[in-house]
Amino acid sequence: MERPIYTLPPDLFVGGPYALAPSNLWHYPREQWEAVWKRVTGKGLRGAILDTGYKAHPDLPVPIYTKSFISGQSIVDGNGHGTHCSGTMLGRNGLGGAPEADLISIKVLSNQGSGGSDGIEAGIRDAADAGADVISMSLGGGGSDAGTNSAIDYAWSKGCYVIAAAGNSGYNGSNTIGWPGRYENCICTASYKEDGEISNFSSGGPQITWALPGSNIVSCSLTEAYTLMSGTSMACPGGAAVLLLIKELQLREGLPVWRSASEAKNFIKLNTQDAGAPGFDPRFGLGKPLINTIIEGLINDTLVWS
Amino acid sequence: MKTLLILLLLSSSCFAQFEMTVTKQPMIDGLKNPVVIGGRVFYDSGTPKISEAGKIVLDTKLPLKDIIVEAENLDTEEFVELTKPEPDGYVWTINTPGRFRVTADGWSPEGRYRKRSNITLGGSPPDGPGTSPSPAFKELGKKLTNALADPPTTKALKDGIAYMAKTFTDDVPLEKAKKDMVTAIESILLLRQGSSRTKDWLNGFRIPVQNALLGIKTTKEYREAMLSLTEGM
Repeated sequence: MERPIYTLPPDLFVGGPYALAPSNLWHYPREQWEAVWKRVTGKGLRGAILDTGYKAHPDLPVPIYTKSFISGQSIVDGNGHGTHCSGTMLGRNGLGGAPEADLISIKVLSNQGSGGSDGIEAGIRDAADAGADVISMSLGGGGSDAGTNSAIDYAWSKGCYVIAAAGNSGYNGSNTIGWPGRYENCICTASYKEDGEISNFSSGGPQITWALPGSNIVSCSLTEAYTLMSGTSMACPGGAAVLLLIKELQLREGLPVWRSASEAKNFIKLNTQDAGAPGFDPRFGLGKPLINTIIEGLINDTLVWS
Repeated sequence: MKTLLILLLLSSSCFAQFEMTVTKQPMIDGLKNPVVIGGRVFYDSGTPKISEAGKIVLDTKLPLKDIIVEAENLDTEEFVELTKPEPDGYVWTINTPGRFRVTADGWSPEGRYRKRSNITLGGSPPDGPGTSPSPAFKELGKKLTNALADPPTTKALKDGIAYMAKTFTDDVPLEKAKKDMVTAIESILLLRQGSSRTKDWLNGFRIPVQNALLGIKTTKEYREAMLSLTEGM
């Protein structure tokens, strides 16, 4: 049986390149996030971006590990999607949510934006073996793949959290979430806008875990400048950053790390702000993560873990 | 400062260590059943106080550029003057009688910090057997770490807590000591790898220890409790 091809969601290029990033990004409000970064920054942890690769940028660290699973193409990002996602996860100077985490960059999508599920399966296993703490996949396709799902299980078994984008197919009542985001052992991420409403393009369905900022996201471009993009692809690395910070806290506090997405979802359920329809809803899932509440709760030992 | 502290903690196991010993004449001969635990000399009560000048000898096989040796009289809490017969030697003389806590810090010619040693000379331990919290904390450390069954983290915490506790002189405010200890513990726990990451050190160690420390009122008690804790780990 032929294995599915996964691609970039049809993210929207909104604008740029800009020579300078705004000093106050809507998705990482400076005052709020500087308080977070006083406590946790992702330092000592490794975030893996499985995407179109990596291009050097003043606000990105040199990856501690890279590998390309695309035949004939190096790790160098010829698309821009992987570099943009890397910036949102751990870009320096306020661009990323986990600004001191180390970067693992694995190319599983070509510069044209597609890749076989065999490469994605191998990329997930490779990232987990390289010590990734969180794997972020802003990609998807229409079919489940046993090998990819098995690799995701493998990563979780090593204590590596796996997050994927829901997809950019909108929602009209039927499930529009792509794979591997739809896989039950994945943290599936939807997108919301600056006004707090769900992004129109954001896919929906019963597997949505949570929603993060995904519209008009400024991050790194291929030209050492900055571009503005919209998509659940942009929400996913933001969620990966939050997971890196939570994991840093878990390790510092002495807590055991999660071994499955269900454990993570139990935590998320208790520490998100409900959004959309009351309780779980197919667009926001369990809601929006309350990063300040999470940090504050840990500082004061009032956080509810399970 | 915090970075330096973490670096010191992380690399403490790599440090070349030197042992601080005391010449057998006249002090050790006067002690009953002396035993060194965690760098501190304990011995049976009834040991007479030192009544004549003693010597401190640093037994190091490595050349040290700068060494600071200090002796604090445990009764007067004053530091006493030491003499050094040979400028380049490793021998210091205590010229007054009494009970002393001796600390030594040294640096290699390359400027690397060497681990601090800390021993107590003369007299019995400050709190005699049966009244000291030490045995209870030692037992607690043993019980908790046995239950967690995580040798790599246990070893790292044992070294880190002991190292940090020894830096707490009596004049360090208790709250500062506790805060510094938490920072040290969290820095070590962050480095857990592999199966160590599946262990619940928060509920299996930190909270029980924190509860046991509730009655501690002074930095001295805190230091001794934490050192005893590490002895059981």
